[in-house]
Amino acid sequence: MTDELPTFSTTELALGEQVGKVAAPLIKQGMALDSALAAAYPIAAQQLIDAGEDSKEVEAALARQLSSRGVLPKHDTFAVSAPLHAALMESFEHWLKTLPEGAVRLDEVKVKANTGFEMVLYPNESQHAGFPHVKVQLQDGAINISIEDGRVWWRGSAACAVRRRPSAR
Amino acid sequence: MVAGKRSLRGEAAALRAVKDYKQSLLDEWHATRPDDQKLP
Repeated sequence: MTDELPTFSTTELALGEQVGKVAAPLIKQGMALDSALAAAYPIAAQQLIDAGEDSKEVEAALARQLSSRGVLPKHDTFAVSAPLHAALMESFEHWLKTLPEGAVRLDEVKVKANTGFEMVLYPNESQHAGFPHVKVQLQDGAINISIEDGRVWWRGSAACAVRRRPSAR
Repeated sequence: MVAGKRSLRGEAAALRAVKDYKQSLLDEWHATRPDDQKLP
Protein backbone atom coordinates (compact mmCIF):
# COMPACT_ATOMS: atom_id res chain seq x y z
CA MET A 1 0.00 0.00 0.00
CA THR A 2 1.32 3.45 -0.82
CA ASP A 3 0.47 6.93 0.35
CA GLU A 4 -1.56 7.47 -2.81
CA LEU A 5 -5.17 8.18 -2.01
CA PRO A 6 -7.72 5.88 -3.64
CA THR A 7 -9.70 7.34 -6.52
CA PHE A 8 -13.44 6.98 -6.93
CA SER A 9 -15.64 7.08 -10.00
CA THR A 10 -18.48 9.58 -10.19
CA THR A 11 -20.98 6.80 -9.52
CA GLU A 12 -19.15 5.80 -6.37
CA LEU A 13 -19.04 9.42 -5.21
CA ALA A 14 -22.76 9.79 -5.89
CA LEU A 15 -23.46 6.58 -3.99
CA GLY A 16 -21.43 7.79 -1.02
CA GLU A 17 -23.31 11.07 -0.95
CA GLN A 18 -26.66 9.30 -1.16
CA VAL A 19 -25.68 6.90 1.63
CA GLY A 20 -24.89 9.87 3.83
CA LYS A 21 -28.28 11.41 3.13
CA VAL A 22 -30.12 8.17 3.89
CA ALA A 23 -28.08 7.30 6.99
CA ALA A 24 -28.12 10.75 8.63
CA PRO A 25 -31.74 10.63 9.90
CA LEU A 26 -31.23 7.06 11.19
CA ILE A 27 -28.13 8.15 13.12
CA LYS A 28 -30.00 11.13 14.49
CA GLN A 29 -32.72 8.77 15.73
CA GLY A 30 -30.07 6.98 17.77
CA MET A 31 -29.09 4.06 15.55
CA ALA A 32 -25.47 2.93 15.76
CA LEU A 33 -23.24 4.16 12.93
CA ASP A 34 -22.39 0.72 11.56
CA SER A 35 -25.94 -0.59 11.45
CA ALA A 36 -27.24 2.70 10.03
CA LEU A 37 -24.71 2.53 7.18
CA ALA A 38 -25.46 -1.15 6.57
CA ALA A 39 -29.16 -0.32 6.30
CA ALA A 40 -28.51 2.72 4.15
CA TYR A 41 -26.32 1.19 1.42
CA PRO A 42 -28.99 -0.90 -0.39
CA ILE A 43 -31.59 1.87 -0.05
CA ALA A 44 -29.19 4.45 -1.49
CA ALA A 45 -28.22 2.13 -4.37
CA GLN A 46 -31.87 1.56 -5.22
CA GLN A 47 -32.52 5.32 -5.12
CA LEU A 48 -29.64 5.93 -7.53
CA ILE A 49 -30.94 3.27 -9.94
CA ASP A 50 -34.41 4.82 -9.72
CA ALA A 51 -32.89 8.22 -10.48
CA GLY A 52 -31.51 6.91 -13.78
CA GLU A 53 -27.97 5.75 -13.00
CA ASP A 54 -26.63 2.68 -14.77
CA SER A 55 -27.57 -0.27 -12.58
CA LYS A 56 -24.38 -2.26 -13.31
CA GLU A 57 -22.14 0.64 -12.30
CA VAL A 58 -24.18 1.22 -9.17
CA GLU A 59 -23.93 -2.43 -8.20
CA ALA A 60 -20.18 -2.43 -8.80
CA ALA A 61 -19.80 0.71 -6.70
CA LEU A 62 -21.94 -0.83 -3.98
CA ALA A 63 -19.84 -4.01 -3.96
CA ARG A 64 -16.59 -2.05 -3.78
CA GLN A 65 -17.75 0.25 -1.00
CA LEU A 66 -19.20 -2.62 1.04
CA SER A 67 -15.97 -4.60 0.68
CA SER A 68 -13.80 -1.69 1.78
CA ARG A 69 -16.05 -0.48 4.59
CA GLY A 70 -14.33 -0.50 7.96
CA VAL A 71 -11.03 -1.71 6.51
CA LEU A 72 -8.04 0.26 7.72
CA PRO A 73 -4.42 -0.27 6.66
CA LYS A 74 -2.28 -2.12 9.19
CA HIS A 75 0.83 -0.30 10.29
CA ASP A 76 3.23 -2.95 8.96
CA THR A 77 1.64 -2.99 5.52
CA PHE A 78 1.45 0.79 5.26
CA ALA A 79 4.49 2.20 3.45
CA VAL A 80 5.05 5.86 2.63
CA SER A 81 6.96 7.07 -0.38
CA ALA A 82 10.58 8.15 0.00
CA PRO A 83 10.02 11.94 -0.40
CA LEU A 84 7.16 11.90 2.12
CA HIS A 85 9.25 9.87 4.55
CA ALA A 86 12.16 12.29 4.21
CA ALA A 87 9.88 15.30 4.74
CA LEU A 88 8.31 13.75 7.85
CA MET A 89 11.67 12.85 9.37
CA GLU A 90 13.02 16.33 8.69
CA SER A 91 9.97 17.81 10.40
CA PHE A 92 10.43 15.60 13.49
CA GLU A 93 14.14 16.36 13.71
CA HIS A 94 13.55 20.08 13.31
CA TRP A 95 10.99 19.93 16.12
CA LEU A 96 13.49 18.16 18.37
CA LYS A 97 16.17 20.74 17.58
CA THR A 98 13.91 23.70 18.31
CA LEU A 99 12.65 22.43 21.67
CA PRO A 100 13.54 25.05 24.27
CA GLU A 101 15.92 23.97 27.02
CA GLY A 102 15.99 25.42 30.49
CA ALA A 103 14.68 28.92 31.05
CA VAL A 104 12.72 30.33 28.13
CA ARG A 105 13.59 33.81 27.06
CA LEU A 106 10.97 36.42 27.84
CA ASP A 107 8.86 37.42 24.89
CA GLU A 108 9.52 41.10 24.41
CA VAL A 109 8.66 43.62 21.74
CA LYS A 110 10.65 46.71 20.94
CA VAL A 111 8.25 49.59 20.47
CA LYS A 112 8.58 51.08 17.02
CA ALA A 113 6.72 54.32 17.66
CA ASN A 114 9.01 57.32 17.92
CA THR A 115 8.40 58.23 21.53
CA GLY A 116 11.85 59.62 22.10
CA PHE A 117 12.72 56.77 24.45
CA GLU A 118 13.80 53.18 24.07
CA MET A 119 10.71 51.26 25.19
CA VAL A 120 10.09 47.52 25.54
CA LEU A 121 6.66 45.93 25.69
CA TYR A 122 6.00 42.58 27.38
CA PRO A 123 2.84 41.16 25.80
CA ASN A 124 3.27 37.58 27.07
CA GLU A 125 1.42 37.49 30.35
CA SER A 126 2.24 33.88 31.12
CA GLN A 127 5.87 34.90 31.52
CA HIS A 128 5.43 38.49 32.55
CA ALA A 129 2.28 38.96 34.57
CA GLY A 130 0.41 42.21 34.80
CA PHE A 131 -1.57 44.81 32.96
CA PRO A 132 0.10 46.32 29.90
CA HIS A 133 3.23 48.23 30.73
CA VAL A 134 6.45 49.31 29.10
CA LYS A 135 10.02 49.26 30.29
CA VAL A 136 11.62 52.59 29.49
CA GLN A 137 15.36 52.81 29.30
CA LEU A 138 16.67 56.02 30.81
CA GLN A 139 20.18 57.30 31.14
CA ASP A 140 20.81 55.91 34.63
CA GLY A 141 18.54 52.89 34.63
CA ALA A 142 15.23 51.46 33.49
CA ILE A 143 11.74 52.00 34.92
CA ASN A 144 8.48 50.19 34.26
CA ILE A 145 5.43 52.35 33.57
CA SER A 146 1.86 51.06 33.29
CA ILE A 147 0.22 52.20 30.09
CA GLU A 148 -3.26 52.46 31.55
CA ASP A 149 -3.39 54.64 34.61
CA GLY A 150 -5.09 53.64 37.81
CA ARG A 151 -4.45 49.93 37.48
CA VAL A 152 -2.24 48.07 39.88
CA TRP A 153 -0.26 45.83 37.56
CA TRP A 154 2.63 45.00 39.77
CA ARG A 155 2.56 42.09 42.21
CA GLY A 156 5.67 41.88 43.85
CA SER A 157 8.84 41.28 45.63
CA ALA A 158 10.59 43.84 47.76
CA ALA A 159 13.31 44.07 45.15
CA CYS A 160 11.26 46.54 43.16
CA ALA A 161 9.90 49.77 44.61
CA VAL A 162 6.41 50.73 43.47
CA ARG A 163 5.01 54.15 44.02
CA ARG A 164 2.13 56.18 42.77
CA ARG A 165 2.86 59.52 41.20
CA PRO A 166 0.25 62.26 40.74
CA SER A 167 1.80 63.06 37.38
CA ALA A 168 1.20 59.52 36.15
CA ARG A 169 -2.58 59.78 36.37
CA MET B 1 2.14 53.44 38.22
CA VAL B 2 5.91 53.46 38.12
CA ALA B 3 8.26 50.73 39.24
CA GLY B 4 12.00 51.01 39.43
CA LYS B 5 14.61 53.32 40.84
CA ARG B 6 13.47 56.67 42.18
CA SER B 7 14.10 60.05 40.67
CA LEU B 8 16.00 59.13 37.57
CA ARG B 9 16.86 61.82 35.10
CA GLY B 10 14.24 61.95 32.38
CA GLU B 11 11.53 60.19 34.35
CA ALA B 12 8.91 62.91 33.94
CA ALA B 13 9.51 63.02 30.20
CA ALA B 14 9.17 59.23 30.02
CA LEU B 15 5.83 59.40 31.87
CA ARG B 16 4.66 62.11 29.50
CA ALA B 17 5.74 60.05 26.47
CA VAL B 18 3.84 56.99 27.70
CA LYS B 19 0.78 59.16 28.29
CA ASP B 20 1.05 60.74 24.83
CA TYR B 21 1.52 57.43 23.01
CA LYS B 22 -0.96 55.51 25.18
CA GLN B 23 -3.23 54.34 22.39
CA SER B 24 -0.52 53.19 20.01
CA LEU B 25 1.25 51.36 22.85
CA LEU B 26 -1.98 49.61 23.83
CA ASP B 27 -2.64 48.72 20.19
CA GLU B 28 0.80 47.20 19.88
CA TRP B 29 0.36 45.31 23.16
CA HIS B 30 -2.90 43.80 21.93
CA ALA B 31 -1.51 43.05 18.47
CA THR B 32 1.54 41.20 19.80
CA ARG B 33 -0.22 39.18 22.51
CA PRO B 34 0.11 35.41 22.05
CA ASP B 35 -3.03 33.89 20.59
CA ASP B 36 -3.61 31.60 23.55
CA GLN B 37 -3.98 34.59 25.85
CA LYS B 38 -6.57 36.47 23.79
CA LEU B 39 -9.93 36.14 25.47
CA PRO B 40 -13.00 35.87 23.21
